[in-house]
Amino acid sequence: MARHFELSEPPAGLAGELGRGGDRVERLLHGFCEATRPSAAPGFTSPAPARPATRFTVVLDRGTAAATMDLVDPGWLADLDRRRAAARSRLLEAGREDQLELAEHVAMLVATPRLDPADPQDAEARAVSGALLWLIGTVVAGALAGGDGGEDEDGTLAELADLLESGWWPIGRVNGRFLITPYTAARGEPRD
Amino acid sequence: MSDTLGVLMNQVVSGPAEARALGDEYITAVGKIVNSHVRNEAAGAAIFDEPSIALAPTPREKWLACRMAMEEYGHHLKFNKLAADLGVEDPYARSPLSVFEYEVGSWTEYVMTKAIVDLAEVVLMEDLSHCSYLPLRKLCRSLMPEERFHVGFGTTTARQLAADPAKRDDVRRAAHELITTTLPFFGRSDSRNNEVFRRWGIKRMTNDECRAEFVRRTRALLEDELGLDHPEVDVRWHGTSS
Repeated sequence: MARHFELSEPPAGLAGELGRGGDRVERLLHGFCEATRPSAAPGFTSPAPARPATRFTVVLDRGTAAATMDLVDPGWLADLDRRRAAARSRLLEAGREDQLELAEHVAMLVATPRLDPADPQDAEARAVSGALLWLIGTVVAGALAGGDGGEDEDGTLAELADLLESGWWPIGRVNGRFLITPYTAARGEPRD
Repeated sequence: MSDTLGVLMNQVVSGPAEARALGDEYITAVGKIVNSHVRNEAAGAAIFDEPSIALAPTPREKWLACRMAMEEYGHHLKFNKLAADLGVEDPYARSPLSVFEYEVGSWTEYVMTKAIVDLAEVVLMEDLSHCSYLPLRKLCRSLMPEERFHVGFGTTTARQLAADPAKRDDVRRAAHELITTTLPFFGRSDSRNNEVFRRWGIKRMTNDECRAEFVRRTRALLEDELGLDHPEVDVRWHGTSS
C-alpha cells in the first residue's frame, strides 16, 4: 500500500489500489480538486458549478450558508452517521480495512489543505471546512462499500458524492428543504 | 531561561545532511522529539478528537471538531515526514504519553482537552520554534496558528460552559483531572534527554520551566477566565513514565 505524507491531488493508480468503488472515490477527489483549484488570475474565481436538480435550494452567499449550519436537521446528520458506520463496518467485515484507511487518508490529505481558511482564527470558515471534510469522509466510505450491501440503496450517499464532485457543499436538510451552496460561496469568495 | 553549555545556541542546522554531519547524538536527540510528536499528534487525533465529533451538541460544533481532528492528524503526518526525511522513524517504539489515557466521555471533557492538553502542546511548540534544527523550527512555527486556534476554541467554549450552572462542576472536574494528568507531558525534572536537547540548542527550556509555564497559563485560565480554583500541583515531576 502506497505511503503518502502530502498530496495536492489523488495519486496515480489510486482507484486500482482501492479496489471495488475506488474509481468513484478517485473521480470524487478529482472533481473536488478541480472545484477548489485556486484561480489563476487574482480577482477572478472559478465559475459557479452547473446547477443540479431543482429539488435543491441554492444558497449563494456565505453569511446565509454559515447561518444555516445551526439549523441543519439533526435527524439528517444522524442518518448520515448511521450510513457511514454501516459502510465502514461492511468494509471491515470484508477485510478491506487497508483500502478504507487509504481512501480516508488520501481524501483527507487532498482535501484538508484545500479548505484551509485564509484567516487561521476564522472559526466559521473552519466549521464550513469541517462540514465538507465530514461529508467527504462519509461519501468515501459509502462509495467503497457501494454495491457490497444495502446501506445506501436509495442513493443518498451517491447523490452527495455527485454534489461534492461538481463543486457543491450540501449544507443539509433545513426546515424541509435541502440546501446547497457552491464551494466558492462557502469560502467567502466572490462569484463571477 | 536556564543557562546551558549549548553547543549550537544561536546556530542553525538547515536539514538532514547537516544534522547527520553533527553525529549520532544530535540525530538521536532531534529524532526523539520528532517521534514523540508523531506519536502524540496521532494519539490526540484518534483518542480525543475523532471520537468527540459524535459528542458535539450542534452541527456547527460537530464540524468544528471534525476540522480540528483533521488538523491534528495533519500535524501527525507532517512530523512523520520530518522523521522520514531524517531517517529516524520509530514513532511506535514507545507508547503515547499517559495523558492520552484520559477518557473523553462528554463534550465538556473534549472542550477541556482542547483548552488544556493543546495548551501544553503550545508551550512545547513555542520552545521548539527556536530549535536549532531548522525543519523542526519551521514546522512548529507553521503549526502554531492551528494549535492556538484549538486552545482558543477550548477556552472560549469552556467559558460558555462554566457560565452554565448545570455544567460548571463538570468543567471544574475535567480541568482539574486534565491539568494533573498533563503535568508528566513535559518529562522528568532530572531528565538526561532534556540536558542533551538544550546542549544542542534543540530546546531552550528545562522540563520544569515548561511545566511551570503551563501551570501559569492554566492558572490564568481557571482563575481569571473561568472563575474556578486551580488544583494544587507541583511543577517538579520525578515519575518514571510520561
